[in-house]
Amino acid sequence: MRKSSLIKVLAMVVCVFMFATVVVGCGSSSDKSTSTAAPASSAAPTASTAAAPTSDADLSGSILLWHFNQSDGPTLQKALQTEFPKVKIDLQVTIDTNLAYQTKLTAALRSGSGVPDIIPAESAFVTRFVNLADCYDDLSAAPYNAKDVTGKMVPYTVQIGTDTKGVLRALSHQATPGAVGYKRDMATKYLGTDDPAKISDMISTPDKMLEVAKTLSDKSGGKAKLIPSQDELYQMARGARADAWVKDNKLILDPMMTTFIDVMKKVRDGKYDAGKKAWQNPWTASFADDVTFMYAIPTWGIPYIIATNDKANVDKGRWGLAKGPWSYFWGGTWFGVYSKSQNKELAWRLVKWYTSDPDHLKAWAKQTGDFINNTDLIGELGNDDSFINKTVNQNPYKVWTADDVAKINGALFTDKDDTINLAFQTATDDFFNGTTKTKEDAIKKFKDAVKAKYPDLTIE
Amino acid sequence: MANEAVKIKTNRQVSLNRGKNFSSSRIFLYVGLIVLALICFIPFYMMLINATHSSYDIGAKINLLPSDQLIANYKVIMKNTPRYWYGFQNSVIISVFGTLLSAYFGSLAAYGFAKYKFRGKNILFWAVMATMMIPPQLGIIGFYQLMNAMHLISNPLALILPMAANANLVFFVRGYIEGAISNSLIESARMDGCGEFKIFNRIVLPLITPSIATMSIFTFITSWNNFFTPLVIMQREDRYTVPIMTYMVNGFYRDQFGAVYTSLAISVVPIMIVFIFASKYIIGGLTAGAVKG
Amino acid sequence: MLKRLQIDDKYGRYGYFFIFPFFVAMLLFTAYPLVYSIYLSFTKWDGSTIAPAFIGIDNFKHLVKDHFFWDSILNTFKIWLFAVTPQMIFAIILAVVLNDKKLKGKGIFRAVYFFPALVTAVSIAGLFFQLFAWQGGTVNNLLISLGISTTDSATNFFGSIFWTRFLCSFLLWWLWFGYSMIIFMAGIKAIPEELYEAGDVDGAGWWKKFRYITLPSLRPTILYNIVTSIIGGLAIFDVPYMLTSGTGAPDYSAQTISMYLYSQTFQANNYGYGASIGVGLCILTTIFVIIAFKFINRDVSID
Repeated sequence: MRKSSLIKVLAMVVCVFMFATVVVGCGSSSDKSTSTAAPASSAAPTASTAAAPTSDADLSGSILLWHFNQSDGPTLQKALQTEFPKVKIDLQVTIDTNLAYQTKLTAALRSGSGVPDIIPAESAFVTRFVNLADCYDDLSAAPYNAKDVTGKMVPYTVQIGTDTKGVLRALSHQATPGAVGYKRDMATKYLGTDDPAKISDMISTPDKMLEVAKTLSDKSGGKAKLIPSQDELYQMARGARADAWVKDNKLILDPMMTTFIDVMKKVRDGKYDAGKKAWQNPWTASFADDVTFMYAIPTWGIPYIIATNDKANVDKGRWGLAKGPWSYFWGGTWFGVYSKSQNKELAWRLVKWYTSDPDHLKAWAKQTGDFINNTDLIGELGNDDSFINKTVNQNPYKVWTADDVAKINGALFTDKDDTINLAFQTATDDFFNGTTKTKEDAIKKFKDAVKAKYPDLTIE
Repeated sequence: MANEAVKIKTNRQVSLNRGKNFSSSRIFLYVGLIVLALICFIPFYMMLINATHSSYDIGAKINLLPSDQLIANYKVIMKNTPRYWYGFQNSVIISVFGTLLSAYFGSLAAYGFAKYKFRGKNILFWAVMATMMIPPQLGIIGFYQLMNAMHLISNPLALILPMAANANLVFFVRGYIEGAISNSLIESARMDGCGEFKIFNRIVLPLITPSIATMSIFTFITSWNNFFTPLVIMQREDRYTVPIMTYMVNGFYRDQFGAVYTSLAISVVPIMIVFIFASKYIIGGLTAGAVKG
Repeated sequence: MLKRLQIDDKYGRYGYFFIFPFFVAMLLFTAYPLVYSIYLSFTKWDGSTIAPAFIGIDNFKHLVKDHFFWDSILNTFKIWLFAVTPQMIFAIILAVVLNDKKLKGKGIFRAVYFFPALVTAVSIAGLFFQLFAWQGGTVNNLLISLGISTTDSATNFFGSIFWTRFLCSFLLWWLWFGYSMIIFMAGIKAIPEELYEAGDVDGAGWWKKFRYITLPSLRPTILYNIVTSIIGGLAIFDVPYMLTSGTGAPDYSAQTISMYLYSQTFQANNYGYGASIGVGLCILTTIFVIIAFKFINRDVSID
């Protein structure tokens, strides 16, 4: 028996080492193959561009593309692959749960190896990477000359892709204005109409919105709620600020933020919200119920927030889009080229096509329902009566016109937003649920928390 | 004779006491044990049941009976994480080899600390202890740079090899060896001409299996459920592990909680197999008295 | 007495061979990242390609004045204490009870008590959100239907400092008492049967046997459990992180040291300062572990 267990142990050890050598062997050999392949592929595009601009279908090479979104990533890859059939597009999705995408990208940039050629960034962290050393290449200079394609883009998207020194580094294919998504059946039942124009009017100011909340509550015996969570109002108020959190290294508390505190406190005191937290399961489940009335819904929210959580009503027009008390925007994805990429020109061809090619954008809008980043096309689709989204029974391009999106303030992002937003929501949440007694205390605690993370910031 | 009588008397008293206890405290004991078992089992059970429910059902109410969404949830897994079973394979490879590595090298070190006297032993042992005190989030930046320098990014070895330094296991097994392995046993083996490593592999190792098995369950579970380090180290989707896949299943817009529970249910299976397998060794393994000198 | 424990010195050098592979792995994979972190704790760095700037002990000067750091220590300690105390009591009692040969179904009990250790905080947090939700949560619904509470007075569990910490402690207890129990059971298995037989002969009741045989023999196991729970306890991360969605809310009352380290490092990108929090945590843990050794292990030494 002892002998057999000795043999077992020896077998295990041998296995481990055999396995180890195999994996090490594979690992290093594949490393070698990629590193030798890299210079070759970098030489190819230079040669081809020197001759004549190749058509998209003839371009070849390989591109490493990362993404943080397992819904959008594959769709993007598929679109690129159709347009550039000869380019090998290697998509690797890293979710940003626990900031993993950002951590991984930061680590890869630092080590200078394994960095993707095309780097997507989400609104929550795009400003950080746009301003991070050695991350995105300067798109305004040769060989990119991105200024040629930014003319038709919604100005705020270009502004966000520009760093603090005024260098353009990333572009977006979409614009993301926000509206209020509401349940038409509840509107008819409690408010007597489901017409978006009338609902827009009913919630056009915070006070009128509170009236609606009271009506809902009174007519349902306290059962119907205006909103599921404070996050809805927060998203709207945050996107409607005049100033970003930080200006000239100074923390700024925009008046819109104090308005948010006042309005939300009234909502909570009146028991008009369902006390849930955004993105948690009870919140996602509330879309299909008949208790919660309205939500902050940006352009991408129609397919990805409403339709996906209220599956039974995807094409039944149960939902409506109204303008809320504040006009705002929320979200968005930007793309740029890694500054030390071996495939800069090829990567740029892909980014340029995806974010600016009019034919592609139009097809993309029809295929995905996305709100595209081209002012001409936004106007054109707004006049196209066949372009009705079945979830909301409206044409999104009528809800948000080209004029609306042109007014969006793109100077609202800083590289400290994630932390400051979290500090603000934590402090105000404590005020709404009574842990912090006064608004002044809540603001003080908010500033205190920001100070702890950014001691160099001027905070008054 | 007199002694015998006393012994019988005490035995009878003991059994009488036991008999009396059964009526009151025994029932009380069983009720307590069952209540506790329910507290442990119900959330676990709900987790498994949720695997058969839709995201809406899970968010809207508490479910105690199975539903019919299991296949739909599985399809979501395949859609959001097409390489799910690669992840499963990676997790098995990493956890199995890592656990074996940590068990063998760990018990080697434990034996070294328990049965040999050498210069600097105290300091070295405290160094081992000290590595237990490092918060896991602290070392990740240095760890990434090390793995990058060793060209082990996205390589399972980056997660397997570090498991050889499992201080927890050394600490536990060392204590066990001190109690369970007598010096006379080792000395008599030496008299028979056994070499030191032969003694360890042939005599000591089988005797300390229960303690290694006990610790290895935890090593395996910790490795299997490890989320943060693989997330940072593994940059390619086909190298991800099950916990990362479970997160990805939920989708960027977090709308697939049913599928998340299905993935959790799948991922708990190997752990249960290991637990059932290893618990045999914990119970059956050793009668400690027999080896004591 | 100490010498008797040791094998003849001429074999001593073999000790190095036995611990060698372990130390190679340890120096490489654990010590190097630690040393690197200690180095970072003397720098200011945002994690980018711009090299860390050496700033001496500024981070530590800042750290001792940072009330979020001291609060996080207290929070960690409170959550840990209310988790580890019941955890140890349940574990040791159950280990003894389930060791009783006459008890029926002990295999099932033992397996079921261990179930929670098989899952992660991540997987169970979602259930907790549902169970303890403020409006429409299962527990509140139950309390309302029993007449204990009303819709208006329903407890906002995750909006209350007490309940948030309590639920963190409860979940930690739930996850880990089965683990400690198994460790204790392994320890009890190593106690020679003769000791109990001798106890029977002396007519000792279960309490006397527990007090004078089980507890003293379990001392190394108790030490192990206490030390690992201090180490694990001071590094508590996943349970409060999941239950508070990473914020430590309300009022940062459930923000543990590790959570603060994490948010400073990866969210605010203060890599240097985050490292100094980690170094602070290491020092703190070391102090506690030494105290635990001194108290429990008074007359057992490593040598």
